[in-house]
Amino acid sequence: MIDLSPEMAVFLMFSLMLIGLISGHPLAFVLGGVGAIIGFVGWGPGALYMIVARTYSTLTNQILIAIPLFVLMAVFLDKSGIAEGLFTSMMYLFGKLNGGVALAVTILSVVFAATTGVIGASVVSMALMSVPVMMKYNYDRKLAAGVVTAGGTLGILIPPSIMLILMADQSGQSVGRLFAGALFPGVVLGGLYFIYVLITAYRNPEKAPALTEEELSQVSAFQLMRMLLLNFIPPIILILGVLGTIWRRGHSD
Amino acid sequence: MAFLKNLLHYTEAFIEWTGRIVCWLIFLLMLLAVFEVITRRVLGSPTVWTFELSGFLLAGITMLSLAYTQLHYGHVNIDFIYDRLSERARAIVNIFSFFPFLFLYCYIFLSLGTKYAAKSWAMQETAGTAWNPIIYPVKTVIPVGAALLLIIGLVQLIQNVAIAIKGKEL
Repeated sequence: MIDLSPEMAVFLMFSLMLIGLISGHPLAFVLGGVGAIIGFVGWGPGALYMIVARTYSTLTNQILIAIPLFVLMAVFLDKSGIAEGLFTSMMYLFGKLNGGVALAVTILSVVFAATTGVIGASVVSMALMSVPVMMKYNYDRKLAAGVVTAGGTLGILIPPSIMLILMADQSGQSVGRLFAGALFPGVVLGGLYFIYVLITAYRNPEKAPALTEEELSQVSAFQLMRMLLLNFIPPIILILGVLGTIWRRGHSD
Repeated sequence: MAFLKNLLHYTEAFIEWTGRIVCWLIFLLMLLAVFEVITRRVLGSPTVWTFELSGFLLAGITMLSLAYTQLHYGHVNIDFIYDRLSERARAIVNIFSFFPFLFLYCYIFLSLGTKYAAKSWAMQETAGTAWNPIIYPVKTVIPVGAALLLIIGLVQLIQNVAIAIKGKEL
């Protein structure tokens, strides 16, 4: 046991953490390992007992149950093909406008964000679906990449959001209230992305052209309606479910 | 050498199966959450045990799936440098980062987690809540999960040494 000053401990932890992170080792073990090493060096074996005891209370934390369940929901949406169906129907819906595919991606991001709480999954599946289409229509590369990545970040803001669940757990706030607080900014941000794409595509049609007549005529109005209904109803039920919880929590807390 | 190779492959298959079995717990957790919402919000008579039991399931899912995730190198990591390395360089980096991080983690949870769980078994510990369930089986998942992680960590250490020396896995 060495007498570590707080500054020294912080410095050592940060340097060890950086080395660990750059080595590409799993984040969980790097953070846990650094904490354990410095804890052992600075405070003795007692610190290690604290880690195990804290692990048990975190493992059975009632708030964190939501995280695996939201991830499961995201997997369901992805594997069931609803995401792809939604994208196709949105693409044909906005197809006549300049930048239709980019608009479809933005709307889809909001719907994805409102049904799942994770960023990674929605960005990857959206990029896989939409970027090839946008490249086929010679979209501006910067716009195409920006729409997918910026849209993907809405996942942490629009409830349900895993980040907000963790924040609620750490700060002792109610999850429902944090969700209620993040809902409006999230939707506004999504709306701003939509308007930005709309204006950019209107001013520079060569950056984001509309779909061709040939492509549009592949799907009749009736087929489009059917596709929209079929793919929109399950996410809408989910969104209403989440909003319902926020409303109830907001009133009961 | 053939014996070692078989041993490694059987161990990997074993860890693979633990993951495939544990993954069903999440569906159980989903059903429990649905049951809880229906009894609380629709019927208006929540049960005392669902909420607590779902916490225990979370502990099982998290600890017991650690090894499976490590088997597929699926834990979240920062790979902007790691991904640019050659396979051999990656194996060498892995060998060095296993000891201060993964193995230390396993050691703490295996040795101290066993003591922690054993104390709980010895006093037949209960949660002390309205439902008051026994909690020593839940505490036991900590050392069990760590043991599985240690097993797969050792397997991967040997595989990484093999990659570093011979350029391919055993």
